[in-house]
Amino acid sequence: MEQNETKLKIKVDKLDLYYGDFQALKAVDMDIHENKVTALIGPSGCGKSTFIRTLNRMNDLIDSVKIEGNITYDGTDIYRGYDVIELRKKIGMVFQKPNPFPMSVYDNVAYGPRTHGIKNKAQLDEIVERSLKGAALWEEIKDRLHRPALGISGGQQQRLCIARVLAVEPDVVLMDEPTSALDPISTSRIEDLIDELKMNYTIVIVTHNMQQAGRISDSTSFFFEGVVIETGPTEEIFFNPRNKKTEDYISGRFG
Amino acid sequence: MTTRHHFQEALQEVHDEILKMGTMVEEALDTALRAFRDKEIVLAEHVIAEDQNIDQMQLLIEDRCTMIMATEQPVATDLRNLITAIKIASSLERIADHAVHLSKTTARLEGKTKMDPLRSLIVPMAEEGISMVKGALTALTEHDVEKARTVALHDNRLDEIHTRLFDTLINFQRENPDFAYQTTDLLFLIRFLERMGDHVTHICEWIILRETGKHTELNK
Repeated sequence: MEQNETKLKIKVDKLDLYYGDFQALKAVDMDIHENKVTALIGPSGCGKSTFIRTLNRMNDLIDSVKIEGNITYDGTDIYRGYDVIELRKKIGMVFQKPNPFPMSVYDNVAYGPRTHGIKNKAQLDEIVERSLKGAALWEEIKDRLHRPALGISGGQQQRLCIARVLAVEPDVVLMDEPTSALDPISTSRIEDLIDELKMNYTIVIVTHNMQQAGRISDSTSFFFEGVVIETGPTEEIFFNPRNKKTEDYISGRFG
Repeated sequence: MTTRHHFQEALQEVHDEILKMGTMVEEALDTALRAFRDKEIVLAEHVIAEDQNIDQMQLLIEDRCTMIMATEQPVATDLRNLITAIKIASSLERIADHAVHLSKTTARLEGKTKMDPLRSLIVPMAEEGISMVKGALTALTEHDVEKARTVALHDNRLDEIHTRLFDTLINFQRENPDFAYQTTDLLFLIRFLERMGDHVTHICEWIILRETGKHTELNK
């Protein structure tokens, strides 16, 4: 279908992940396509957050984690072909709760570029404006750039966190339940934003909100007990899933 | 552990109401045909009067499905069940309208014994149509895709009977110009019976969608 017309951005091949003796992911295969939104759904503890964190090597920080299988990004193995800092610049992450740094709005967005060596004020101004515009926050916040980021609303904070990711010019944006702490209006803003972002970025999103997965994603994968039970075009998953387990989960029969 | 009890109950109610509406339509057709065949005007009038209950049933089903969609966000099989219920209720209502047409024709033909031979020629066509309706309702109840396909095939037979009867009626009209009004009435009637087969075909297509998730065009 449409999926095949765009380039393969991330390929996951037989991924096993263990936390000590516990196997959290079992032989996960997944193709993530460029400029598409891929939704990961499944009940709590199914492995979807573990999976998304593996895509930019966030699980490296946990000692007991053992990973087998392959993940390639643009054809290169993410564990052998990339420095982890370089990888996370390319593959950014937005978390469930907005987590702005305790500094100004401006400094939050400029933090990443400064870390990567950009000191020039005009250049930073340009990056901050472009990133906040990209996150659909500029018009609301342009007169308050030097106010504390913790003083803006939760929905604005989450868009600020998206702007912070965009500031380092990533290629892929991972989102782990980005709207679960937000009200419906802020949620709609983020969903509209995701729809715009996919023109320039590849997006992978974990969500507990079935309707959200239905609204915003092109492809949906259903995780259960560490296994990908079913992957397909989102409209097929929600209208005519092949697997009974998928059907039971999306229609709220369990989970 | 199963969840969403209220939702399950609401879906079950829609299912029960569709079957009830199907039974009401079957009864209307059986009664209308008996009235037509046996010249029972009272029965024909009964069918005409009762049609409003079938209309109400359609609205009830549509409203209930709409409310469930608005409040429960159904997906997959649940969503297909509800869409199918709305479409089938609409087709059943139209089929019931044809039972009314048959009944009105029965009333208008009262005392026109000249039309009796034509009347007995039309009865088998009506029987064929009614048997299709019953077959479709069985396929609906039993979630039977193959039965739905088989039932829809009978539509071709209904079309053939229509073509043959059309010629017969035109010839009769030519030879009996004084009965042009009554013959035209019967020409409309066979057209309505032919349309009934199309509605049954639509019901069969929606049964297949419900069961498989795929659109199928039967009797292209």
